[in-house]
Amino acid sequence: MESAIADIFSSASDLDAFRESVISLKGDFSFDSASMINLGTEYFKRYPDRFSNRNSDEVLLGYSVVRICIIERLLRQLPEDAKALYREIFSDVSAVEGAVKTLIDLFGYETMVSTFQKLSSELQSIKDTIDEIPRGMIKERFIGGISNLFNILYVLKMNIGAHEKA
Amino acid sequence: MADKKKVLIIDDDPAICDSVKAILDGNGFDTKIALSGKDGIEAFKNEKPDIVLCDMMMEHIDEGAKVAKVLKEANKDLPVFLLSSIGDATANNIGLSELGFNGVFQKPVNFDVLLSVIGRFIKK
Repeated sequence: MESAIADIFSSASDLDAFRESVISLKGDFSFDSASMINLGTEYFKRYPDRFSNRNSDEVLLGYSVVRICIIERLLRQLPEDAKALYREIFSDVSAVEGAVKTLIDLFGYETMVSTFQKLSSELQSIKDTIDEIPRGMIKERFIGGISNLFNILYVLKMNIGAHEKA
Repeated sequence: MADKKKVLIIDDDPAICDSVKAILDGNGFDTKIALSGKDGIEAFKNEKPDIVLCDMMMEHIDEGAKVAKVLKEANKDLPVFLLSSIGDATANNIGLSELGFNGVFQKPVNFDVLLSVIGRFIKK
């Protein structure tokens, strides 16, 4: 049975506990627009938004929650021995250059390119699902969250391009 | 060698700032980061950027508009672009030019488009 990420968020004591629980699912959780809205609803119950004097830490935590879920969905199709490096890539843009070199050394350039294409396609598919969420603050957190992963994918493309054989 | 053109990113999400900087620096720009509207105005004074990319929702939900107004009052020719994650609401329901923006890039940003647009504005 697929787990509900909203329930996992509600019962998690903090972001690290949430991350650990989500990682343990190996991407096997429902992530349709209803699940996203449920997660957003639980998040805003805990961290209500305000018009002025917004708590930036709580906003950033919302983006982190979204990114954890999306990263684990992206990585579910990858071999176990590549997951840690890709998790590092999507969590910290400064890790991209070194991780790409390691991944190419381990798996080869062609695999790197085909994995990039799979990740791009999956990320776009998740974005299409986010687009189904009605306009509002839940959607804002999901857009803010996924945006950085698109940015990192672009950096990944730039770095893979630098290794392209002449 | 010509000096690199300077881009100032104002966004309260450090991860977004770092990834945008990696992309812009990798494409020949000198990118500076400010993590709040207040820091952005300070960085504008100190760094004298050629172009500014500014998030809308920071400490206040409309902070980007307030920052753009201040920057445009100081330099009406400075290109200032909005980075928006609030969807069509931004593009359709607010007057970008009235708020001081030269345009909007919807998150997730298409960087092929962004690089082309800011390249054109900087050449002007």
